[in-house]
Amino acid sequence: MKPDFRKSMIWLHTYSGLVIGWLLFSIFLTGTLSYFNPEITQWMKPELVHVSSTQNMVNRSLTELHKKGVDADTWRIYLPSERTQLWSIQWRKEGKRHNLSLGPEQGQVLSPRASAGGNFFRTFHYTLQLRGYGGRYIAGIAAMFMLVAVFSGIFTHRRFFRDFFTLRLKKLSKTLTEAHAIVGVVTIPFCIMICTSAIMIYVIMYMPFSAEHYAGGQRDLSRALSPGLVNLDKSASRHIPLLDFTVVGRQVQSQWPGQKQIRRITFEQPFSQDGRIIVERVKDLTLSRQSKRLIFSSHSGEPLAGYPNASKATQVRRVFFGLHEAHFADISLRWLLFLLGLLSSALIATGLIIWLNKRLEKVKQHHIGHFIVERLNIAAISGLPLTIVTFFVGNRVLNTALENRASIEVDVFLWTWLTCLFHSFLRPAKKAWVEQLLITSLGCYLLPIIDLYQDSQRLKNAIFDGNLTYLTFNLFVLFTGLIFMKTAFWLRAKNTLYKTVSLRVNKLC
Amino acid sequence: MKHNFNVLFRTLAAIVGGYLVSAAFSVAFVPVLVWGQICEQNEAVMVVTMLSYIVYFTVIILSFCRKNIWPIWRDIVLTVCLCWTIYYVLGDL
Repeated sequence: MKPDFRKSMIWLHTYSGLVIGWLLFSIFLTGTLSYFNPEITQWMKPELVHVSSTQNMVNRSLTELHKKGVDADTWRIYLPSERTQLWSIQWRKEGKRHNLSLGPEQGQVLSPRASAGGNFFRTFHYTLQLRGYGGRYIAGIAAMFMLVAVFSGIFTHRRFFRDFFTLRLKKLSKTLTEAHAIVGVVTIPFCIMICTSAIMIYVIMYMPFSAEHYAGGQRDLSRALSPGLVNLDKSASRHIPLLDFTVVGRQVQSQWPGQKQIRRITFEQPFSQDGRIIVERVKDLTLSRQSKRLIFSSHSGEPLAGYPNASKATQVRRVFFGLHEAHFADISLRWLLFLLGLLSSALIATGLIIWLNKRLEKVKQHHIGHFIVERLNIAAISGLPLTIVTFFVGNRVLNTALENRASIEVDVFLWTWLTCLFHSFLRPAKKAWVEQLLITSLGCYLLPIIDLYQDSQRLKNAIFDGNLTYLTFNLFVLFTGLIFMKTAFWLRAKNTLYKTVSLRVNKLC
Repeated sequence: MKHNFNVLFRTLAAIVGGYLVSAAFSVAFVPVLVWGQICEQNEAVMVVTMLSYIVYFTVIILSFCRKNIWPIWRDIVLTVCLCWTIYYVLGDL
């Protein structure tokens, strides 16, 4: 440890990045994918077909709910939006939830394959499949480490602007260092925004003392800061809920002009006299996580008193939450954020490789620690993309009639990743890199081919209906395959320039 | 060896000490906001908890860039004591 400020920042940057870099890389990459969560789900459930008209959609849902959900406690209608074709109804009766997806034809009920969907990436990136075992705490710690690494990284590059305009492609270690500097400068605002908002999502959970001391816990605090609606009396006299939504629809239209403004409609205690309808607006019009809501009576459709205003502090927190989830972003901004997410993942990946390269250039005697860092680098940086591609292939290949299919998909993901880790330990480093990169690109090429082989109608429909989600997904996968193949060949051609760890056998034991 | 201990104590100061200071801050400054009539208590809890992460971050950076280790720990203990005093004086108001 050196007393000089800049030197201690360099030290801090080096080690805060190394300690948790692999975890950060996984979180950033899966988090980046969840910018396109509904679109990925759409691709993973090809049975969901395009629903063109919004006319009568609510009324058709209500007819189904009247048939199936008699005396239920809640009804829910999820309407399709610009981004997803998922149109489903849900009713909860005696604590059990039932779901149904609806199709465009009259009375048509779809049965999409059970799939973890794009939501898997979203859940994975903040729980690491460890919800209930401290997964969210680990993610929070990782966010704090990233903030420290970004902050100290700023001081590592003294020649901020000169670094920005230099990129030498001849020597691998130089290329990586300079790419790391450029990408670092570009992604500073994005990384700070993402990490701060990530911490703010669970702000009370990570630092619960104040809330517990003054308000009696997180739940009581949020209830006090953003009060909900009054509790409903279940025993109130029985009333038949609305059959025709136009009464409410007209009022909603006058408040929120425009097409496709409703995201979700909830009926609370639909068969009670006090029953109410909560209509939620789409999220792309607000920075906040909570979109606007309107309340109506469930049998007369008359407007009721709305939600009390949430406190300022809660609103600020919701904006942080909204910034993180980016539902407000239209398609071009979304791609920009996606690109920034990919760049940040690349920033972490290059940082990890540079750490190892610098040490291998300096020291003669390689250490077991270098060996482990090298193998973890391979398993994370080339292994995770391979795992993600396998997850997509699994979605297409697994039998659609399997029981617990969604969780089997997740198992496929986790086992493939473990296999990548073993593979990276068993093979010589450079071969492990090249092989995993090549398998990834092979998987990327196979994916559209499998899809075409299984059902060529999908591609035809997508082209004729202008289903951009499906087409873009396939094109992007092919493009990714190309990039991975290029990288693999480029790496294989660099014979002498890339250093690998050589350990004596007796050192390993 | 000396280097290793140096790193260990700084890391502990950053992670554990920083958390202690920010937790103490998050409890102690709620009565300050209420006393200054800036906001009511529940809102103050949310505001101060959010701000406490800035405190945490500052402690982390400071514990890695100061010259000696002992002043870092001394300041951590002093800050926690200061927070406790503020809470003790203003907490009952």
